[in-house]
Amino acid sequence: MSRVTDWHEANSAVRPAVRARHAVERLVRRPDTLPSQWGWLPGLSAVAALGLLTVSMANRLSSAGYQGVEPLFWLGLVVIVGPITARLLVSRVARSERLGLVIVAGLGLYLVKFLQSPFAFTYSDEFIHLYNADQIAQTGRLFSQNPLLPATALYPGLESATAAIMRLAGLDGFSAGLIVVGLARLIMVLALFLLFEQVGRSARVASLASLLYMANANFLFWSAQYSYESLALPLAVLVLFAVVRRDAARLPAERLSLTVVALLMTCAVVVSHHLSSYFLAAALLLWALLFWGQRQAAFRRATIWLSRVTASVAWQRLAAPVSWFMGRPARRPAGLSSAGEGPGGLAIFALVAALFWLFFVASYTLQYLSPVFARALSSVTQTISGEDTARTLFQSSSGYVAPVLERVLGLSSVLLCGLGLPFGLRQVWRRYLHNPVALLLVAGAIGYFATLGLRFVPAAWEIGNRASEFLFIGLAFVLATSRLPRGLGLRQLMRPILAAAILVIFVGGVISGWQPQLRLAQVYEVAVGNVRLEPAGAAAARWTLATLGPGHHFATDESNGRYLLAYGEQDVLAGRDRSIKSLFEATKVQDWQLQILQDVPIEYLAVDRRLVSADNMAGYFFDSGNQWPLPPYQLLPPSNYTKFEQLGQVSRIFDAGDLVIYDVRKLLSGTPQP
Amino acid sequence: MPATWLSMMSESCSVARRNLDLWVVLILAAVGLGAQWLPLPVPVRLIGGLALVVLCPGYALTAALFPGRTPGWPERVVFSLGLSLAVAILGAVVFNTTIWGLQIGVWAGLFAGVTLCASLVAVWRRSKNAEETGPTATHQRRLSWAPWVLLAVAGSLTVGALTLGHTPSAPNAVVGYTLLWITPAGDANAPAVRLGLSSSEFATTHYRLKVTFDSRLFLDVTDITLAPGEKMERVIPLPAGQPVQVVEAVLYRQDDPGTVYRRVTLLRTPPTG
Repeated sequence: MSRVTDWHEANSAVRPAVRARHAVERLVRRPDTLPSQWGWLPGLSAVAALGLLTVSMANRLSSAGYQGVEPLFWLGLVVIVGPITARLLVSRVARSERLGLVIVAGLGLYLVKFLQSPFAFTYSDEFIHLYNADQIAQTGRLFSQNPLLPATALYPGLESATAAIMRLAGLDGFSAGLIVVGLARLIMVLALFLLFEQVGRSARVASLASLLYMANANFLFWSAQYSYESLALPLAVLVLFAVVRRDAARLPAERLSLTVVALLMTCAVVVSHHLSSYFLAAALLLWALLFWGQRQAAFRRATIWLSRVTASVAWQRLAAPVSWFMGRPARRPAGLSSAGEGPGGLAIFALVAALFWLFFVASYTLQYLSPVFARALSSVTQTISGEDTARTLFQSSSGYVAPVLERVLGLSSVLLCGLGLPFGLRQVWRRYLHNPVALLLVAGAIGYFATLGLRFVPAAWEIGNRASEFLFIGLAFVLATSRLPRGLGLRQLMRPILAAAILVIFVGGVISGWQPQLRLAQVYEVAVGNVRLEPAGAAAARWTLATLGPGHHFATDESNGRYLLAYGEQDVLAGRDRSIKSLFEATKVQDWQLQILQDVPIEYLAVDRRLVSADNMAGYFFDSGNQWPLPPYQLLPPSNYTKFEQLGQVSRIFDAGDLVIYDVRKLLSGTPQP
Repeated sequence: MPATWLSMMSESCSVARRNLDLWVVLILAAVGLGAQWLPLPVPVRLIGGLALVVLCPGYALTAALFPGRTPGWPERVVFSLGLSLAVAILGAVVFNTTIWGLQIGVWAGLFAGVTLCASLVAVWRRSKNAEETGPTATHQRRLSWAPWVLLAVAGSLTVGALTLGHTPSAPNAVVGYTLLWITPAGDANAPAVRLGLSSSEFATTHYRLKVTFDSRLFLDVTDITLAPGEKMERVIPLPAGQPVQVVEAVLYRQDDPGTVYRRVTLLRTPPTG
């Protein structure tokens, strides 16, 4: 008897008959389901902590300049995930132990991300959200303008929670942000487990599905960053769990309470992140549709007909392999079914709330998202028609090609998911055909494979990659339910094979999800005696705030733009915005570029001659080497940065070696300097 | 009479025991609230403030929504955390529209208010479901010493990993830098420039600084010594009566005196009239 049913029945525990039955069930309950049994949890927690220490050592060695320490990093990850995987595959493990192990794995992997950048936020989006949080904490107002990514300021959920902690606990933005995202990670892990458990009626399926979800390409690093999706997606999963639970609840008061939870959480998701709120609305709508469909007489007739057909001798002779593999469809609802009231009302509420926020508060989102999807669509068309070349897998935009072993593991990961899918679908067919949420998760699993094709399309690969965070929820469940047919004769080898497969899926996911050069910690902070030094970009940004004051218009590259925004509180124009990137890539300043600068109007140019400064993920760290200047292959051509000297009417007010700040107010406006 | 009194006392104790968790939450919220204005130690403010934001409102709301023994602890934990964050998120949206905005008092009042109100509702609802929420005999097996030792090992290793990771590395195989800057200073009557120099080199560095006014050497400081992290700033008055248009400062390292290490220039607008 699973813990899920405990709750349902405890609701009616006021009735003596139910109480008596509870007592009897407690007596006969198998020892492996005792809620108090911790089993291997303490031991495996210690092993996972050892893995974390190994990852920490790998990061430490990497930032100390040692090469070839990546195997240590992988060893650490395998030590964290491997033993937990093996334990979760065992059948007779208590629910509490499973839940504990899933929490240990989820939080352990979150700490892996922390160990990768332990001194400051160093992912491109993190700077942007840190600035938003600082603005809320300072001004006490939401929706401050964010010059680099205006849409983020219109979804202030993450930053509101961070600002509250900053103000009330007296923490800085980095520490408060780590706490919020850490809590979000805990919510994600718990909510996934409870959701899967409720749908699958099995703690084993729930724990394996939760662990498999951690194998998605974005879980280790991307979803652990300080970004709005990192909070909104866990809250969205929590809504799904609350609604699933509500449909299974028997007492009206409990249903009402769960409805309140779902409504509050839905509002929080809508305020926190655009795509997560659309995902939530879409999932609830599809669920409502499936729910409605299953209540139709035609569906019931169809399942009865399918049952009869698959049971017939003719079918078993004609389609023997299929019949052997698939078995008979589920006749009765397993667990959650279409017997409740369904999520129709909540789906409409989520849709209306998301649209309200989109059109009345965050209408800029359309301007932000529509070009991304339009470019992706156009790129898909061009790639299919042959006008555009397909993207090469495992090759970064900077030309880095992953080693053969990594490519093999990355592809094996997808292949194993594909191989496991039919076995999972078979179980859904046999057990969960009447469960609309299980069918919703199946749709997610199939959708995941559909989006894999986008990874070959230059302008659409990122959409495919980001979609995996959402769709992998379905795939994780389907894979976790899978069971191999008994006739295969692999019973003895089953657990080792499955454990190895899950590890390969996990490792492949990490490989596909993050740039190899950035998996390990880069040098962000160095200690010389008692003094701690930070990279030049951060020092320059702080200098601008201290010396020039906040709110000046800067034009710069991607990395320094984020530094100037987060630590300098400057109004930054960077990257592709208004083609400012071309200003730093050209050998001469064109008139149209000057016109753009004049239109803003730009007051200062921050010119970084390092090529890496254009990379919004890699440009934030100390430069490796032994002495300044850096070798020429790491720098822009000299004409690209010396051209600003020749403009005249330009003051070179700050020099950090590779990073120079020019005062161009006189050039562009003709107004005298103070 | 004594029997009635004893019965009342017993009932009060029972109610207090039943709501012990809410008392703890209310005390935590009170500490968090008080820490905003009272001179409490930093760790107290940290713990109280954190509890006030991420724990108290959600826990109290969960208790109010689910007054019975169910749901179990995993559901309570996840609802408590989720609802606490939802209170912060939605409360921010609501109070952003008020004239006070999201000041510290508003934040504290929001979380403490939600905690108090939800706790009162929880107490009331629990009293209505007294039978269901009464204390139950737990049959949880006590852990022997071995799991505790293992958990302590796990905790120690985790702390060790985090401490190791959070220790800044020594400057091996990375390049340090020096900042040089120039900004206007003084006023129209006593014009000047402010020159600044900051070392983020990894060893004590000796510099030479040359300052020119319209290409004429004005200042030559032959030995400036800065330790790592050290900074110097100097205001240099411009010569009175001689309008200077370009101020340039060039920095050299004494271990490489022939190479310009840093250079800044400031174009000045000559005073009109």
